[in-house]
Amino acid sequence: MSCKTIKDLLSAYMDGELDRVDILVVEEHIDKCSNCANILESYESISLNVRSIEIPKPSEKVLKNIMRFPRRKIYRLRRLAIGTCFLLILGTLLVPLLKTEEKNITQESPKEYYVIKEEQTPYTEVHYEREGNFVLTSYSGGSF
Amino acid sequence: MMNIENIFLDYNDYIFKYIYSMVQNRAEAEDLLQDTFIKVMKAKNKDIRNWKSYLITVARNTVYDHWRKRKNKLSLDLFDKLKTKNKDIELKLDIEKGIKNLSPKLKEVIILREINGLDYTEIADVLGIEKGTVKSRLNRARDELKKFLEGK
Repeated sequence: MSCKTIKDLLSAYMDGELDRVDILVVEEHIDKCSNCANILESYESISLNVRSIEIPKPSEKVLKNIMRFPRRKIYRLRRLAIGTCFLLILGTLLVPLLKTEEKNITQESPKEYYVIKEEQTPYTEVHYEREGNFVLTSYSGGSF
Repeated sequence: MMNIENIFLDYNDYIFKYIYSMVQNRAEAEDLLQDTFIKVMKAKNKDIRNWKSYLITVARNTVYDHWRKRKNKLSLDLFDKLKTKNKDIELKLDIEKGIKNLSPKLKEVIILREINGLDYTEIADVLGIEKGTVKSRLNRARDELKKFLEGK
């Protein structure tokens, strides 16, 4: 196999990401080819050096802040969101209901709504009552 | 489902390494670490099979969002402030410069592989690319680093 093909496999070989067949191919090649063996050595040295770059740890203060991050706050926000959704849904359901009720009232016949009582008096007194509540009294005809 | 506090305790250092390597600024990295864990806490953490990959993905999104907001792509100063602990300071500084000179795509695979120790499948998962692409990018990244060091 050519050095170019092997070179493309060296990185993955070093990372242990090759299948058995390719591992054997690479190992067989680098046993004979010092150039490819040197490239592999360079890759390994680079890898070691990159891995040993010192990276600071997050400060204690930040860690405490994260640990203290109020999960309750999230739940509170969730509850608030759920509550708002509930109210919105309730609102959307109630508005059409109210409209229907309004419509029913306007459509009702006055005959159904008012009770007319006629009394025998020297004059004719007509009481218009709304469900028992006095609404209007009118006089018609009759003589004093 | 794992407890979020335990996850944080187990992985904060690991996630910080990634974020710090990407933004190379401690204060900024600490803010982004907090943002990452807040996002994780807010998310519904069900069916997370690989917490390492998941957390790195969230951290990566947080870093990229942060850059987008600042309209500031990958900084060219990456690793400028990183310190080295080995005696071979000169080589380390050269490697840091070499990483700094890599394109963002190559730099990211090197960070995920060498600093975070993810395997190819995990890197592919985090970056949303094919495993084969991870393989070729890492090969190119190492080759460019090697050439950079040889040119010194």
